[in-house]
Amino acid sequence: MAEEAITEYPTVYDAIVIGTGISGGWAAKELCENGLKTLVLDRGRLVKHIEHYPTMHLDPWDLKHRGAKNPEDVALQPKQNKSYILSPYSQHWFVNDFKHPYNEVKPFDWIRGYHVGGRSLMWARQSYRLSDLDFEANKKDGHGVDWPIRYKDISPWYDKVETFIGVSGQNLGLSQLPDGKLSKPMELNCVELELQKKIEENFEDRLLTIGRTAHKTGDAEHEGRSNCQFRNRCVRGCPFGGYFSSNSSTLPAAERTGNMHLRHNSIAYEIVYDEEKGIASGVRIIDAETHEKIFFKASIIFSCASTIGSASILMQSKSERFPNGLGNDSGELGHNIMDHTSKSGASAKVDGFEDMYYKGRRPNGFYIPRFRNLDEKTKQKDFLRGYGYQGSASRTNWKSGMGELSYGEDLKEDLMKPGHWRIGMGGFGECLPYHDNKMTLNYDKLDDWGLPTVNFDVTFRENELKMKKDIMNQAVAMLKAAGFSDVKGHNPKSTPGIAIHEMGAARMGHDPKTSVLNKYNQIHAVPNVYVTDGACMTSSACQNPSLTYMAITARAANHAAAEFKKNKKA
Amino acid sequence: MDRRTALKNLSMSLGYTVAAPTIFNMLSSCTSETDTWTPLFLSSDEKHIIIHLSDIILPASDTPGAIDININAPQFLDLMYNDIEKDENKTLFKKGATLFAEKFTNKFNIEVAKGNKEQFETLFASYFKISEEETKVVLKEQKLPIQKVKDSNIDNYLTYKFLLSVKMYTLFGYFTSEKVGEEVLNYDPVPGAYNGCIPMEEIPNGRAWS
Repeated sequence: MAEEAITEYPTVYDAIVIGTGISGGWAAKELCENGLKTLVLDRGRLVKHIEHYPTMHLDPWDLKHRGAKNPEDVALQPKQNKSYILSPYSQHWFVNDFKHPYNEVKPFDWIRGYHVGGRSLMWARQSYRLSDLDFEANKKDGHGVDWPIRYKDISPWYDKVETFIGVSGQNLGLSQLPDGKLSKPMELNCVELELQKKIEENFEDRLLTIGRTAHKTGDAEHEGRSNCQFRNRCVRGCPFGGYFSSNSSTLPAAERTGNMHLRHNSIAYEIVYDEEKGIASGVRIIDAETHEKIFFKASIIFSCASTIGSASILMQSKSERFPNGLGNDSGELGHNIMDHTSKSGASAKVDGFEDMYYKGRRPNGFYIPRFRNLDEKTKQKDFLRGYGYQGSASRTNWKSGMGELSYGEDLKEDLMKPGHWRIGMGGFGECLPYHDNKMTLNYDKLDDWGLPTVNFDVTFRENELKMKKDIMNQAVAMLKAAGFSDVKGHNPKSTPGIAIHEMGAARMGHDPKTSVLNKYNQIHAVPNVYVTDGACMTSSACQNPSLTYMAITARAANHAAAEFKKNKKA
Repeated sequence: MDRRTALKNLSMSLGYTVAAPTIFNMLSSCTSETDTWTPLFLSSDEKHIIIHLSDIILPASDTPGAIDININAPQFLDLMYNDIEKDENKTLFKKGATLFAEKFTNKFNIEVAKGNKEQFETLFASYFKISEEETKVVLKEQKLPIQKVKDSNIDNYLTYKFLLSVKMYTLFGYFTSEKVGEEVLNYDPVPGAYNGCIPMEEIPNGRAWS
């Protein structure tokens, strides 16, 4: 590839950010607000807030097939369709699996979208802080390496991120789930309140709360955004800016500084290492449409291309000094990939409460914070670490009339009314960091741009599978204790990747011999390169990780800006 | 007259004090436009059967029925079978429809295309108005793949497959239609807030949100 013509872009930027998702948006905002002239790259098409949300206002009758999937569309996205998030309302946010193939040594569901804003458009918005229980976990039980940071290092950045993005929820004063800068919580419905009460009565070790979610509620002002309107059409892009996305929030903030140059259709494939200076000099991209190759130079580089994306770029960035990929002195690059286990839980029918209903479509559910392995008292024989539940209750609709033999006026009148209540919950379980859970690059199978594809070799192991079983059993126990009927547990296999919380491929650590990044997310041996997306995670905890990626990115970007200003003065 | 336009005109002229049920009663005579569409998947006999069955499954009353909406439920079924359903299901559907038509001809001694509403109601009831015990047996068998069904039961199995599919698409087409979504169920595209616990008395007509 080195022989091919590469245009050298004349401007030298202060910083380059690769990626515009939940992490890249924050890097762009913080660097630009610190006065750095920043080039922001995304490999996909341009998506402008509101302007490019084609399905945001559609009702079921506006779609020819009323929301049913068309097999012709599914055939183009067989992997992406494994995620519940895909529907005719959202499928345009996900990649074509034939245009963007990958390889599976073991099954892996890599669910993603290539466009400005990335998965910040389609994320599930649940936002929970990690605690020292998580930051100390590796050190205590000896799995993986120790996190080089503790809660006190990240806590002010959680404050900053929550205040800017808007997170609604309830502070509970729990040590395993620290309080945050939360705005007015959403309401639980009658049946969820009943479960909350019954859990309180029957289980002294656990509690139920409303989910903490990145939706604007309350009185705080957020430029260009209004409060959540409870349409629950978030995944399509929100015309109200009711939830946080890069498109609605961080990228406009970066834009307002006048310091951002956003270039879409720019596939970053190499961070160039300057052997003389011992730092990175810039980023090579391929224009996704013209296939032109361009070299952009900068003083600082932020890789926020997603866990697999960032690891892939680093692995492709080979030099004499780094023959196995940039910053890969430890041999840990591409290893220790984690995802949460999912799909296990339970559901039930709820008798009664038929005189009660709800108004509005709440884009959120309840949360049962981790209650396993918090201390000696809650220590489990079968597994390390823990899990948290998310779920909701609602009344069934007309679909309950299918598959049975009723008909006529009575059926019609019946189905116009809300049906009986149902409730369900599922758990996200922590995955331990295993060196052998890895990705490699496949140079025999190149993509349309001549770049290597990714091989996945990741699997859940004994600890995860035992925890998954406990997730089901405890969900059953709680629904039974609440007195609900027809309680059914479920625990199907969950393929790594399907929780869309993949992380860990370039972990942070104290020691350059066993980790890729230091405590500020700099590559140990190449301090002007920062990796702040999910790749940096040293352990997975069980909380939805996006909030942590944002806080870590904000912290790293301000560190980079301070270093940049210091060097400029010197 | 297009019922939708008629309804809009009526509510304009009568004002909002008139309850929807009255309006639909006044309109119950304009049901004739259901025959004007050309099927993509269904034969003309099948179209005739399904118009009748949809009308029986969700008939017009104070609220519109399955064949009163635009597009009507039979037309929606036709579209979905043409565009979405797997080939395997298309074949099963056609087989079931043929068996149902044969049953019809045997029973009433006329071609299915000439069957009237009363005759369809009689035959349909013989499948759907059965004892609880029999219902259980039928629904259990419906969950099996066809390979696992006893030969002697195949015809019955296929007929129910067909009838339940007609019911499924009748419900799907009806409850996701613009008319039902916006005018019959409670339409709330921008709720603005979430109230987790409200008494049913406060819900207009006691109906579900669309």
